[in-house]
Amino acid sequence: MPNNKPIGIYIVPTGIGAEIGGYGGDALPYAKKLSRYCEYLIVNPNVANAGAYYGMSDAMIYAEGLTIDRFMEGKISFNFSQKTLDDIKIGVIFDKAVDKLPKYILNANILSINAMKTSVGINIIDYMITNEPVGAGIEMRDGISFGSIDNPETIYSAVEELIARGCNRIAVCCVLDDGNVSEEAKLAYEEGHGVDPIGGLEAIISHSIIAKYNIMAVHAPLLPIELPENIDSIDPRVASEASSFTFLPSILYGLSRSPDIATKPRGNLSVDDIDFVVVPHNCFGNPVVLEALKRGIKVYSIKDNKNNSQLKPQAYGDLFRSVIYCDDHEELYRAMQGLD
Amino acid sequence: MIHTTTITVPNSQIKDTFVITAHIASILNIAEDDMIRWAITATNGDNSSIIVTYAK
Repeated sequence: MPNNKPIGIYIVPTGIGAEIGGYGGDALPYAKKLSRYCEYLIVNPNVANAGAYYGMSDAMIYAEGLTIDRFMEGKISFNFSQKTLDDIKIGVIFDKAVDKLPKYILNANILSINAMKTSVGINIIDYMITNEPVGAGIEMRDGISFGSIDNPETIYSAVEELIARGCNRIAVCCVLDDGNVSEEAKLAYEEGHGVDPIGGLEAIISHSIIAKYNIMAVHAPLLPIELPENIDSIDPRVASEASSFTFLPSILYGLSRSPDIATKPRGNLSVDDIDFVVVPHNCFGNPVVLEALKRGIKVYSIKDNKNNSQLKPQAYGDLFRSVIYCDDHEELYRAMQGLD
Repeated sequence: MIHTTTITVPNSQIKDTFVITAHIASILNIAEDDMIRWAITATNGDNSSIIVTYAK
């Protein structure tokens, strides 16, 4: 792939309480600005998903976190071209548990599918409802959100059906049981000083599909939405979610800008093409950073993007010594201009 | 069913994704293919806390 400008990866892991990107697509403006200096900038869904709002630049590539892990490990590569985008066919799955929620929730999501097809031009083939409830439950531990899935098989049946109908991207929408999340934790998130309680579980749902089918998949929650009487308590970083009746549009738009996953033959974009990785402060305990460092790829840590990672780099000898620390994104942009 | 759990691994094992993956699979007694994702969440002295999602 031509390499006039650098090709990078910008990730904000979901569910870690990142100051920038830990809410409702609030890292997107930072990634968009960074992408000006890049030939391509690969981002994970948490960077770009903003409820009913979306807006990536042409240089941005949307890839689910597990695919970025595997891409960096060299297990897969990506194909990304105009032909890739032209051939994208999205299928949408709804959790049968939506039957237990007010009818407007499913209706709003189906309307958003039709809107994204007819007004934005996204190629959405079909949607279906799982045969059984998924049983997705949220948990939080040590400031990190995660969860479990009781019945992944019902998701897999739907994925297989949609693949049989020609779909090559999956948007999956589940009802998330938040009974284990305190009201205080939810309020802290809305006010802009807490962890997104659903983010970790959303990642687990999409990872489970990708791990089994090697197909790009992303999750959007099915949530009852009550527009707030008092908007002063809603942090602006959460406004995209607080004002969205459906979270599907940004997921569908993201999938419409996602690469094909290639194993053999290798795709036109591989780990060998990557020049840098950007992560929140000290957010190093993941395959993307470890593989980047092993391969001599520059890793930038944004110091003012604080988060709940309690990793202490000095405890690992020289492992993280080559990480480049930037005080903020402005310093990162200056570094990029030096790279260009 | 898909589970998430937290395990403790010596910092000396935190060198390479393939080493870490093999170590986690050994601790949880699962096949590496059943491991969906992991991330180091904290350093506690000579050990690291790793959150792991896996199918079993």
